[in-house]
Amino acid sequence: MASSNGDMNPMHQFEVFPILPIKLGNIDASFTNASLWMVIVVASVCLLLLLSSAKLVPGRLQSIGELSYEFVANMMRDILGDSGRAFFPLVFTLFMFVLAANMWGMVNIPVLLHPFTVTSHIIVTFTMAMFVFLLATVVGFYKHGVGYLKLFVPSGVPAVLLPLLVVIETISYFTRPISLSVRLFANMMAGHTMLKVFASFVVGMGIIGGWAPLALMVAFTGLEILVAFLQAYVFAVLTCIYLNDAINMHH
Amino acid sequence: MGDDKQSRSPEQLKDFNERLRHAQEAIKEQDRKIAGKGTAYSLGFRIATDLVVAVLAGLGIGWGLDYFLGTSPWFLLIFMPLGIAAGILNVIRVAGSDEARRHMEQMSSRPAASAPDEDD
Repeated sequence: MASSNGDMNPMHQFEVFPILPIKLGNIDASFTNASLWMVIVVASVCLLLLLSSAKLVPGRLQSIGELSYEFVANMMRDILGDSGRAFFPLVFTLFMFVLAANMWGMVNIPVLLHPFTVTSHIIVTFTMAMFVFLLATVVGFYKHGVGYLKLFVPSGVPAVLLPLLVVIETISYFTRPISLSVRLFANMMAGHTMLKVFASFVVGMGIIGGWAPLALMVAFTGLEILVAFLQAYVFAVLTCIYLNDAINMHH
Repeated sequence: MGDDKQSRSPEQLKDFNERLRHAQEAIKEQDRKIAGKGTAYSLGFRIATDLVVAVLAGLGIGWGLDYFLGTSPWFLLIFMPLGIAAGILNVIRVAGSDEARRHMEQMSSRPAASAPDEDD
């Protein structure tokens, strides 16, 4: 939002630039601002969960940790039942990573600190979604063997329609990682772009007209915080649903 | 702790279980009310992306096959309807899920209960 050097471009915030250039052969493995913020996200979650000493009467930080644990555990019990206990660490890690990344993205201290929203890049969300998808597929085949392929064959369908429905089911199955990643990335990118566009209106309309977009921005910031939380929740819920399909397989 | 230290009568046990079940249900109900605020938004967004992404994937597969095999427009014509069908299937699946059903129940029971919202 620094208008002095002219970076009023709302997409400027998504730029990835190397902080510490590293070359591995021909592969560019530089430590970028995106990597830096991923480290910060992971570190902040670890600090939150590990640093507060466990007391019988929890303090504020410990309460946050316990509440998020309870929240994810309840959600998993609702969707997966007791069969999915083994996946709790995975779902909890994903939820906390996405949540912390989204929330860090909402922090903004003028001039000093402009966090990079890690989850606003589709390659990040797609990697996570692909990991979940592959894991669910492997778990499905591990649990049910070749029988897992029955997921693509809906029951109680006339034989004439069956080949068509198998193709449709297959497309539906393989679009899962795409929709999982696009949902998170699109929400974060759209929200942040919109905020920046409104911010440029505030500057552009000056001290007389700028108040209206400023008021809108305050409202949208509240909405964006809600979205940041909900998208982390949805990501975790869908991970559970996909794992549930793989483990319990009732279609 | 020893469960046969004090042998309880079946009625007592039944009563205890009944109370336990009630208490647990009350807690669950409360949890649901808290979670229910965002579910409408998250469900809506899930339905929207599931539909759009499947349609686009159908388009992409068809267009890609045509591009590499030089058979334009036949694969596009085959896979686009399949993608649309997959999208609609996704929507039906989300709309029929437990989560959506729970949300619908909540929506229909809200005016009758008329519980005051304390946090917004």
